[in-house]
Amino acid sequence: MEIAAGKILCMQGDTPHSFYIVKKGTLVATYKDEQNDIQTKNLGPGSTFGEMSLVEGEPLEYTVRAEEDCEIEVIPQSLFQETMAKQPIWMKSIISFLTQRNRIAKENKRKKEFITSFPSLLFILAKSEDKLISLKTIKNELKNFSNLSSIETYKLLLILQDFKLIRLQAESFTIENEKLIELLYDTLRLRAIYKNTSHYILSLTEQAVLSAFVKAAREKGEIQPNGHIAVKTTDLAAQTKHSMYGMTLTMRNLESLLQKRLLQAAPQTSTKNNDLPGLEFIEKFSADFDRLLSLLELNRIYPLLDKKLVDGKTNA
Amino acid sequence: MITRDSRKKIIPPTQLCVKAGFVVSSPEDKDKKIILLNEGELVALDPKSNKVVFKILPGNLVGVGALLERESVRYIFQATVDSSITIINNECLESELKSLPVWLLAVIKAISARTRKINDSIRSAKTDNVLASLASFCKFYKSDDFLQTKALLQEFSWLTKTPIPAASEALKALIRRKLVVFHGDKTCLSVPNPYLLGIFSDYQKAKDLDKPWGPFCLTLQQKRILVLLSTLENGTSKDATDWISFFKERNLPINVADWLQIQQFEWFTEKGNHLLSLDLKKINYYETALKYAQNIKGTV
Repeated sequence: MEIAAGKILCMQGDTPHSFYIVKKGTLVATYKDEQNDIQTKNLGPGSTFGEMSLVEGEPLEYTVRAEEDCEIEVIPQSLFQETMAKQPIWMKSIISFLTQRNRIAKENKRKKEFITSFPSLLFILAKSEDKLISLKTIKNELKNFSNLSSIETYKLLLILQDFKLIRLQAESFTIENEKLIELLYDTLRLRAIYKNTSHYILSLTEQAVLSAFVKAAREKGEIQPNGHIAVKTTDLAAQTKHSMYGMTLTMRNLESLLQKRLLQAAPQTSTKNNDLPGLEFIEKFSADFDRLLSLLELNRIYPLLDKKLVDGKTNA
Repeated sequence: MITRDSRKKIIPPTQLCVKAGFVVSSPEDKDKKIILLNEGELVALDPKSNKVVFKILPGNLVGVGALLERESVRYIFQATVDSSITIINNECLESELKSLPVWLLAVIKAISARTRKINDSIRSAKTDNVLASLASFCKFYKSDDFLQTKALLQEFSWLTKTPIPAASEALKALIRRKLVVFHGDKTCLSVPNPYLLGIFSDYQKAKDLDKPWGPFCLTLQQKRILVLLSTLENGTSKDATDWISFFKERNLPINVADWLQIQQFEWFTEKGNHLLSLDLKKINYYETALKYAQNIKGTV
C-alpha cells in the first residue's frame, strides 16, 4: 500500500484489526494524552505497529501520518486467521499465551501505578495550603509524581472520600481531615522507607483505653489551660470497665500511651518500667482530644487501606 | 503483500505420555522447553518449599517465557496423574518459526517487545523528567523548613520510584541553579523560594514537550506591559477596547493582533459582560520567572 506525504494512515483509538510494516519512507506516530500533551515518534523502514489491533482488536494508541511518500505492508485480520489456521495448535497457544502475558503485564502496571501513586496523593494533600482543590489541579500535581490517568486519580480520590478524608464535588474536592491525611502519610512513609511500624499504630489495648478516654472526656472531661482535655482517673477506670467488657484499667495498660505522650498523667510521673506509681497516685489524665480522635480514626482505616487499594472498590 | 508459506524442514515436537509423579521440567534443566499439556494434570511446585503454586490443565502450556525470552524457569512441573504432553524444544521452535511468514514473526516479536517494555516500565521511575519531578516535590516545603538531605532523597525516591543516584543528580542540578541550598556539611538543605521551584518545574515540562514557554517568549513591549500591569490592583476589569486604550495612554500602543497574543498569556480572566479581569497571580508568575530567568535556565 502506498501512502502520500501528509496523509493520515490511521487515528488514535481506531481499531483497524491490521498489522503494519513500514517498507519505505518515514511516518510519524503522535500520541495525545489526557492533557492533550503530544508525544511523537518516527516510524522508519522496518518499523511495525498495530500488532495488538490485529491479534486482540485493541484500539491504536497513536495517530500515524506519512512524513513523506511511504510504502506500507498491511496485514489484515483475515490473512492472520488464514495463516494461523495452517499452524500447529501449539503455535496458536504460544501467540495466545503472549497476548495474555501482555494483558497481565498491562494490568499489573495499572495496579502498581494505582497503589504506588496513593502516597504521592497523600503527600500533595498533606502539604497543600488550600482546603479546596480543583480536580484539574490535583491531576496536574500528581502528574509530577506518577503517570496515573485521570480516571485512576479520581478512583484514588473516591477511596479517600470513603475514608471521609475528603469530600468530592463536581469539579473540585474539600480536604475534610488534614491532620489524619498527614498521619496516614507519615505512617505509610515510615513503613515503606524505614520498615518501621509507626508509633501511631496502636495495639488493641491502647485503642481500647483511648476509646474509653474519649468517651469519658465527652461525658465528664475538663478543658485545661493548654487546650487539652483532662479526665479523672476514677472516671477513666469506670469508663474502661463499662465499655471494654469489664477490663480493669492498670498502669501497665497506660504505660505505652504515657511513653508515646498520647496521654499525660497529673501529677507528672516517670514512665520508666520500674518507677511506675500505682494508679491511685494519679489524679487525672489529659490529652490533645482532636489528636486522639485522629489517631483512633487512623487505626480504624489503616488495616482497611491495603485491601481497598488492591481491590480498587469504592462506595461510589 | 507477503503471502508465501514456504515450509522448510521442520523438526516436529516430541509427544510424551508420562506417569503420575514424573517431573517434566525443573529450574535445573539446561535445555529450555515449552510444555503443552494434552491430557491429564501438571502442577507447578515451588522448588524451595515443594508446595503447589498452581495447576496446569489440558490445553495450557508453560515455558514460553523461558524459551522465547530466555527467562529463568521458576517452578518444578510435575504430573499429578498419568498425562500426555507435547514438548517443544529450542530446535523445534526455531524450525517452526523459520517456516512462518516474516510478518507473523514480526507480530510475535512486537508483542514480546511490548510486554518487555511494560515490565521494564513497572520497574523504572514513574516520571520521565526527574529534575522537574524533584522540583515539584521540593516546592511543597516552606522556605524556613530545614530538611535532612538523605531523608528528603529517600522520601522522593519512594514516592516516584526514582533510584537514589538519579535523585541525587537532580538535587545537584537544583543546587547549581540555587533553587535549593545546602547547609552545613550538606546534610541539611532548604528551599529558599518554593514558588520558584513550581515555576521551574513548569519550564522543564514545556521543554520536554518542545513547547515555547510563555515567560521566555515575551517581546520587550510585552515585558513593559507586564511591569505596568503589576502595578495595578488584582481584579482590575476593563473590556478589550479599554485595555488597548489604557496601554496606548501609557505610551504602550498595541494593535489587535498584539492584544490577542497577550491574551494567550492568561494574564486576564473573563468576567462576563466582555470584561477582562486582571489576574495578579499570573502576572506574579511571569515576573518571578523573568526575574529568576538565569536560575531557571541554569545559567547562574
